[in-house]
Parts: sequence; C-alpha cells; structure tokens
Amino acid sequence: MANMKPNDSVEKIVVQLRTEAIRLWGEQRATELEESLQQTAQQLWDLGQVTPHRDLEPGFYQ
Amino acid sequence: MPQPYELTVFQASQQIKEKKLSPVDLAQSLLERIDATESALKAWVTIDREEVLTTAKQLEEEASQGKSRGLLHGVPVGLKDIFYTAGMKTAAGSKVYADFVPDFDATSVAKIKEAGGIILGKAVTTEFATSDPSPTFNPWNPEHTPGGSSSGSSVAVATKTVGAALGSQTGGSTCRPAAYNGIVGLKATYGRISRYGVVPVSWSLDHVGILVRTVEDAALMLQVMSGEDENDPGSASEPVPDFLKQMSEHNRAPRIGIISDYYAEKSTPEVWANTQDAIKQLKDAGAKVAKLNLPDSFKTAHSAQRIVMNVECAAFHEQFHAVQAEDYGPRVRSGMEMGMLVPATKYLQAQRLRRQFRQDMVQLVQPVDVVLTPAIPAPAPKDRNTTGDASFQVPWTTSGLPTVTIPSGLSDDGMPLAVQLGALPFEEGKLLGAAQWCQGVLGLELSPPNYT
Repeated sequence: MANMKPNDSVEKIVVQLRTEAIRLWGEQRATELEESLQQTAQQLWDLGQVTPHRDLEPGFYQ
Repeated sequence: MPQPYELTVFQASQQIKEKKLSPVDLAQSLLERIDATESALKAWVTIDREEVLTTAKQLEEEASQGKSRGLLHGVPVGLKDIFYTAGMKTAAGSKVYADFVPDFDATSVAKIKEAGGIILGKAVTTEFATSDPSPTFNPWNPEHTPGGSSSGSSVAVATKTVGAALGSQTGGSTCRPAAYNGIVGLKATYGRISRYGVVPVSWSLDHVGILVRTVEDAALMLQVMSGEDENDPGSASEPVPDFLKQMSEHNRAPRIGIISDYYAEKSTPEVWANTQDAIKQLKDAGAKVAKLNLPDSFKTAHSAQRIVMNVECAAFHEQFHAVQAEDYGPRVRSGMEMGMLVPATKYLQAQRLRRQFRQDMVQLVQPVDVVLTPAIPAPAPKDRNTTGDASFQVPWTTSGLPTVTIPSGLSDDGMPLAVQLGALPFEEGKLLGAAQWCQGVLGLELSPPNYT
C-alpha cells in the first residue's frame, strides 16, 4: 500500500488493493471481494482528484 | 378516546403529569400492542416485561404523589440494540456480540432513565448497524425493505408499539428508515448527544438518532439526551437550550434553501414531483424560498464518508475479525476488510476533505433557516436484500449538521415519501421549529393501513 500515489488510475489502485487483499486473506477471499475492491478504488481515486488546501487539517470530531 | 399506545410521547407525558394516565396502563398497552404485532413485524429483540412493569409501578406511585423525575416520567422508550443497557444483553444484531451484557448504561440511556423514562426493550438493528439487512418487515408492505440500520426502532414507532425509539446514523441509518416508514427522524449536530456506550460503526461519523411520530416528540427527546459528556471525546461543550421553547418560537414560515443539482438527478420523477409539490405548499403558506448550489467539496463527500467509515469500522473490529471473521455478515465484513486496505494517508485526506465540506456546508446554509431536499431518492425498495439508498443523508452525516425528516406523502404504490430539512450546527431549535411549521402545512401524519 505504501506505493499508492495521488495520480494513480482506478485500475492501478484496484491492482494494488487486490494484491494486498491476496496477501492478507488469500486468493479466494480476494476474488469474493472484487466488487468491494472496485468500489473502494473508485472512492480512493475520487479523493485523489482533490488537493486539500495546505493549511487544512483533518476534522475528526466535528 | 385513543388507546394509550396511540399517544405520542408528549401526550403521554402530559397525561401522566395530570394524573389522567397511569404509567402501568401505558406500559401494559404497549406490551399488548407488541404481542399483537410482533410476529408480523420482527421489530424487537429483547423485552424484560417484569422490569418494565415494576419500573412503571414505581413511577406510577411517584406520579400519584405529585412527583416527577423529568420530561419522560412514566413514558416507555425503545432502544436500538447497540445502546448499552446495564444487565441487559446488547447483541448489536451480531453473532460476535451475541452474549454481550454491558455493566453500565449508555449516557443517552442513563439520561432517559434520569428523566423518568422506562426502557421498554431493545429493537432490532442490522448487524453492527451497517448494511446487512435485518429480519424486520416494513409495515407498509412486507415485501419492501424497512430500511436500516435502525430497522426495528423505525418500525416499532411507525406501528405504535412505542412512542419514541433511539437509532443511530453513520450514513443514513436514522433518517432513511424514518422516511421509509412514514415517521419523523432527527439526527442532531455531531457532538450534541453523547455516543458513549453505543457500539460504534465509526467514531467520527456516528450520531445518536431519534425516531418519533411528531416533531414535538423529537424536541422532547433531544432535550432529555443533549449535553456534554466527558466520556465521549466528540461531545460538544455547546450549551443546551430549551429546545421546546425554541421550537415554538421558530414555528413560523421559514426561509428555505432549495438544492436542485444532484437531488433532482438522483430522485425518481415521482419523488422529485412530490418534493416540488411540498415546496409549493410551503411557499403558498408563506415560506421564502431561495435556490442554493452545492459546494465543489460535495463531489468527494460520499467517497470521504465511505473511506472514513470503513477504516474506523476496521479499527474497531480488527481483533474480532482476526479470530472470527466468518461470524460476520458479508457486507459488514467486506466493509471492514476494505478499511484494512486503505492507506493511512488516504484516511487522513478523507478527514481533511470532510472538514472542508463541513465548512462549505455551513456557508451554504448560512443565508437561510433550513435547507430542504427529498429525504430519499425513491420509496423503500421492493427488495428485502437491501436497506436502501442512504446517499441523501450522507452529506448531513458527513458534515455533522443537524437534519430532520418528515413525511411528505405516499407513492403510487402506497409507500411513504419524505423530505428532509437541514440547518446550521447546534441550531436544532430553529430546525425543529421550521420542521413543525412544515409538518403543520403539509398536514400529514402517516400510519400504515394495517397498524392504525
């Protein structure tokens, strides 16, 4: 996961997520998770399309 | 003369105060109502009848002596089965928590008891308040989802087996089932009601929710449960006003902000037409209507919510998942597993974008009293394998702004429709006043045909 970059494509993010899922839970479980992996990759890609203002800190409890 | 079970919380509370209603008769009436409906609805998981009636008897004695513990004296309240109840099982709809009996009450539960409320029982939740459907049936049509995750609480209130029930909302879990079942749902500002002792989905997104049949009851329940709690790191130090008084003061034609982009595209034509009709009625009755545009940060609000929710859910469940992953339902398990895959930097970026979105939502709402949108893109789906679409609630949950859902009509196939109103942080009094005015203008109090 350490090599995920802000400008990675959805497809590239899916590959990275799938690789990690296989490492953690095996091939079969990763296959079962394919739809979720695609959705998560899309969500991560969405977030990567925006550059938060450099002074913006996380909100957490807000 | 209505049966005791038909009374709203406010009505029951008033009648008990005036010694016109016995807490024991009220509790008995609700328990009999549960007996008559439960096999068809599956809304409740745990009810301790003996404890309910013993407490009711004690409160009745106090009431007969003119004593009142508070706003809920002698009135039963239901709890979603994720709220800690000392000595009573809190299973969270899960095999993982199947035998969990807390040794203390959630702060919200303790406050209900302090105000004289009686815990009627625990209502069905989807597993860990996420999206694997519950066994509960929608009373309007059992082939449709009742929504979730506060399925049991919503159905219990809609069918008058209790006047008020607690739910929770991390995405849309209070206001969406409220809409699907034709009742009122309130999600107050993040931090207004303590989350301490509520099984979490996601610490920074979870809100305690209120499910009732009138806006007045929502204000009453909010009054009882609001306030700073040192046990909840997200609890707000904001003073707690007199919500019922504020609601009355703001029960007048409000300035309403209308958002078309996104909501028009995502709603079915029937839902959108219903919302436009509601706006017209409100405008004709004196509301000032202004068009508003969603901020740019809205584009990432849903993705940020999902990433934050999954990561925090994963953090909470990590130890259980390591030893009993097979005991989880498929959706809650895959959600937490997705959270385990998300890099820490992405989680933090999601939290930064949430903060920006909240600031932008405050700017959006600033010029008006409330913002009005449809509460749901479509009525409760005819599909019991889903809990429905929470996308219209997510912006309010993600930003932490308060929102209330009120019924706005019925679909062609007889399912409830609803609108939601949102307001500035900690302006629940104004929000509830506007909602009460809107509820009065729309003139709707829906009741499922077989459960009137």
